[in-house]
Amino acid sequence: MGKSASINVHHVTRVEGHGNIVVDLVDGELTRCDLEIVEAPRFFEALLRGRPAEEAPRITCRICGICSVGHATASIQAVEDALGIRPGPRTRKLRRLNMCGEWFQSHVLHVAFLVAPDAFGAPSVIPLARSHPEVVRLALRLKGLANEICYTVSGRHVMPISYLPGGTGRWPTGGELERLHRLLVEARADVDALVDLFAGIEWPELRRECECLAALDEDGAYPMMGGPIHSSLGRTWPTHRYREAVEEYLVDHSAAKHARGREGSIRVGALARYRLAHELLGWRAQRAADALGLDPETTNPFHYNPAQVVETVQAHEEAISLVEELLEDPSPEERAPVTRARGGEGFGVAEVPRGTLYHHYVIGPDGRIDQANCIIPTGQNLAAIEDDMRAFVPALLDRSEDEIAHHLEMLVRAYDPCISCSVHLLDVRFVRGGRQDASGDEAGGG
Amino acid sequence: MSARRQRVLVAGIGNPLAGDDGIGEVVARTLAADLLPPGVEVRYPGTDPLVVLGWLGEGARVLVIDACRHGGMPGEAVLFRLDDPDWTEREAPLSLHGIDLETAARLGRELGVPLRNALVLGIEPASVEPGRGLSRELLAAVPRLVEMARQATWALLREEDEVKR
Repeated sequence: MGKSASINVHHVTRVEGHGNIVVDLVDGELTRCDLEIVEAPRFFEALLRGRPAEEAPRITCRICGICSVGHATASIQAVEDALGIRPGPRTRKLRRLNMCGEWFQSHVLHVAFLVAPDAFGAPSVIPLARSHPEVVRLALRLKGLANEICYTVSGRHVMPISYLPGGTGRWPTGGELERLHRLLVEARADVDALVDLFAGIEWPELRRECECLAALDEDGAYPMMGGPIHSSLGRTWPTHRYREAVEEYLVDHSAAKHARGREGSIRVGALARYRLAHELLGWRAQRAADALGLDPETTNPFHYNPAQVVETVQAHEEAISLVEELLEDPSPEERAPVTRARGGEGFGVAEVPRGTLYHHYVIGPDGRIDQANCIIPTGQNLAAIEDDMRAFVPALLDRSEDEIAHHLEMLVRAYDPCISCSVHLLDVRFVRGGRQDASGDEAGGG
Repeated sequence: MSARRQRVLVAGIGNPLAGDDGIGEVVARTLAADLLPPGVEVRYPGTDPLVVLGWLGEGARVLVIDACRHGGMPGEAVLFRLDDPDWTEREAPLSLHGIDLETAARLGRELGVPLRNALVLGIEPASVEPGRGLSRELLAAVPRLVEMARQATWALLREEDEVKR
C-alpha cells in the first residue's frame, strides 16, 4: 500500500491573493491536485463599461498595485488601436521606460522579498532581515530605484494616471531625467550583487515540457510592449487573434478562469519570454543568465526565478539606454491625433512582469466603452501550475508531509501568481482518503 | 524627486477602486488642494507602503494616511507612530495591502529605519469591496479626517524644527 497524505498549511504568505492548494493522495495515488482560487471575482471589465475610453488606463491601472503600469500600457494601446492613434516615438520610449521600472520593481520584490526567504532558509522576509540584513537592504535600495523610474515618468510610484491617448499628461524635465540616469548608473553594482546573490542557488528539479507564449515586440526588442503572440510550438498569431492562442475556460474549484493553448496548459511570464527571446537580451543580461546557469531550453518552472533576475538586469540596462535617448530631446512630444473618431474595436497587449496581459475593448461612436475583456497572466498560468504539481508530487513521496507542502508552495510562488492585490493568503490543504478536512488549518499538520 | 528635499511627505495609500481603501488618497488629495506649508509634499504610493521605508531612510518625516482595521466605527481614525509596538505585533492583518504596513514597519524595525519619524492616520473602512467611490460613512468623515491630517502634518513639521534647533 502506498502513501496517503493529509497536510494542511494555512495562511502561507508570500503570494499575492488568496488561494488554496488541495492535494489528495490515497495509497500512493494522486487523486486530486488543485490550486483553488477562492476570492470573489472583481469584475473590473464591468467598471469599464460605459466609461469614456480615455479613462480606461486610469481605471485599469488600479487593478493591480504591482502590474499597474502594465495594465495602463495594455489599456492605452487598446484605446489607441480602437481610435486609430499612433503615438510618437518618444512617447513610446517614455512608456517603455515606465515598464522597465515596473519589471524592475516587481521582479526585485518577488525574488528578494518572497523567494529569497526559501533560498536562505528563513520563513519570511522579516526573519531574513534579521539573519541576512544585507539582502533585504539591497532589495530595498533596488526597489527604491524602481520607484524612482516610475515616479520620474508618471509622477507616481505605482498606478500611473498620466497616460493619455496619443501621449502623456506628464513629461519629465531634462533635470529629472539626468538625475534618474545618475541613479541608474550608480546602481549597477547593486544589480550585479543581486545576480551574485542568486548565482549559487540550487533550484528544485522538475522538468515538464509546456507550451510557452509571449507577445514579441515587432521592433526586435526584448518582449515588453507587446506585438504578435509567439508560441514555443512554432505558431504565431497577430494580437487581434489572441483568443486562438489562449482559450479561457471555467473549472469548478477556481473563481479565476483557467486558460489553455492548442495542446494543453501554457506558461507565460519571465520563463516563457526567456525561452522565446533570450537572444534579444543585452549583453549584461546574457552574462547574468550565464552566471545563473539558466539554460535557454529549460523546462523547469522553478527557473522562473532566475529568469526574473535576468530580466531585472535587462530592465535596468534598458532604462539607462532609454533615459539617454530621451535626454537627446527632453522636450514634451505632441499628442498624436485621433484618426477614427467614431471608435471601434481595439486590442492591447503588454508583457507585464508576470506574463502576457491582454486588453480588448469595443468603443462606441459616443467614445464610451461598450465591451471590455482583460486576460491576466496569472489566470493563464493556473493550469500549468496544477500540471506541474501533478508532475512534482510523485517525486516527493519519500518526503515528510511538511516538506511536500513546502515544495508545493515554492512551486506556486515560483510563478509569482497575483491572485489579487488586496489579499495575501495561500492555504495548502492535503486531503486524507479523499475527504477534505473542514477545519482548515489543523488538518494533518505535517 | 528625493525625499531629502522635503521635510514632511504625506502618503495617501490605498486603491480607489477598492471602495473605502481609497480613503487615504482622497484625504491626501483634499489636503493637497489647500495651500501646503513649505517643505510639505503629498504623494500617492498606491498600495505599496514599502515606499515609506525608503523616504524614512532618506531622512524625511512621513504622514501615512491609509485604511486600517482598528475596530472602530467606519470613518473613525487612530493616529499612532509607525514604531508603536502595540500594533506592529498584532497577528491579524490591520492594513489591506499585499506587503502591508505592519510588514513594512516590522521590516523597517529589523533594519534600523527611523520608524518614529512616521505618523499613521489609520481610518476604519466600512467596505473594501471592489467598486468606485467611498461609502456614505467615510464620505461624511472626509472633512474631519483632512483636519486630522493637517494637524498631524504640522506636528511633524514642528518636530523637524525642534531637531534643527
